[in-house]
Amino acid sequence: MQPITVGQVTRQIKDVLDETETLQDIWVTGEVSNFSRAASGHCYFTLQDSEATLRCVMWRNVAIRLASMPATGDLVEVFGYVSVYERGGAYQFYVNDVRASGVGQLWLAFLRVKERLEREGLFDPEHKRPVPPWPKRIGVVTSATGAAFQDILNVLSQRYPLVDVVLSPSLVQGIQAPEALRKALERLYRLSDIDLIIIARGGGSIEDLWAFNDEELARLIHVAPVPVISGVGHETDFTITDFVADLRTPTPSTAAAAAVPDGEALRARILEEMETLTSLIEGKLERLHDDLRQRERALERCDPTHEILGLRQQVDDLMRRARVAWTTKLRTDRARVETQSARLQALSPLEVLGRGYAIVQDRASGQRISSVQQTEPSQDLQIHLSDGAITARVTES
Amino acid sequence: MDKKQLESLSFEDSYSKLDDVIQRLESGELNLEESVALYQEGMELAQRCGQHLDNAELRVTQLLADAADNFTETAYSES
Repeated sequence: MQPITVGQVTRQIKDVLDETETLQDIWVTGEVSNFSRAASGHCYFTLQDSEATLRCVMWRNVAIRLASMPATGDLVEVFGYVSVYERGGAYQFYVNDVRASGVGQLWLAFLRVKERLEREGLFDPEHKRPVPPWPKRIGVVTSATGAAFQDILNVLSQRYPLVDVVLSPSLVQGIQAPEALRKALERLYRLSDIDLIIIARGGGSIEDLWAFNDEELARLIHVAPVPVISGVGHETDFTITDFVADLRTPTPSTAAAAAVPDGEALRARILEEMETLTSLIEGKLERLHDDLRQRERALERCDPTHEILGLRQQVDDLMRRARVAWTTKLRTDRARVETQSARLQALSPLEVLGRGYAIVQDRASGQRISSVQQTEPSQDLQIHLSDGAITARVTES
Repeated sequence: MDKKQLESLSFEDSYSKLDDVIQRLESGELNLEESVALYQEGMELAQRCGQHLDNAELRVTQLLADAADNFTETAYSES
């Protein structure tokens, strides 16, 4: 059998280790020893427990990201993978992250509590009460000295300074914090006029926030007489308190903002409502005005002067017609008169006299003589001819 | 509503009354006199709401407990 080279063997070992998933991306816990940091910035140390040791290397780019550098004697958990340093002929652990030992335990405990309370239904959405729209008095559980409370006060006085704030001060970290938080909360429960409670704490490490993962605290929040808003840590931190609160917000400031209406929005709405009022009344007046104009027009149409004018016109009309009729009548009458006078002319006695007839009268009495019997001898008669009269005497009758 | 009544109203009372006034005006079943009176009332309420917001100052107290967990409410001071 042909021998293979050291390099080939080492490469095969490296391949086996690199392909073993249980050796990739794992957390390993142990005590740091022989910690050294080279001039290059890379760090080398050994992780050990009672059974074995593990050579570790941490490159400079990882080391500079760490909040605190591990030191010999520290109990730590390191995250990374196992591989082979071929030139040195050694397998070693390549470290990508380091944290203090015990955090993993805390995390497991957190998950256990969370799971238990979740199973019991403490996080169910139907338990979440809405935040009252117009709170008058807000209870706050947090540290009296921390920045969290100042943040809350700032936000509240900016947004809605109409509320009263009651601080129920508490420790917010350390071994006594869970009990202190519970007591502070219970004190607020005993006040009858609180509308809602904010439980808050500024940002910190997961250990700093640990009190807010307390199971008894969670159960107490669950039975709160008023809605509870949580604002614990930073954006990404989730605590048991957050899960059980009626409303979870990421920070103390956001908790305060969620607790009250937005004053600026209210101001804007009030202005809007004033405009609405004005346009409503203006609309009303406008409509009344229109109504009035309409009635005026209706009234105008009913004005009696219109009728009088109409009548006057009728009168004028009639008079004109009367005048026409009158003139016509005059003309016909005149014509008739002329005809009549012509006929009269024809009947005139003078006309008859012209034809040789005469009119005879008794001269003394003027009585017209039309018969012989009216005469006697020696009677004087007046005889009218066409051009004058003569006197004659009857000689015989 | 006279001036005294108006001034005794809390912010949220003024605010909800303002809503009422607007709703009544919107219903449009009022005569001119009633409408104008409501309009005036609404404007006064709106101004009152604004004054509330402008003049309010956060009142802060804190609970101080003794060993037996008897507590009193006192004014909060930042120190």
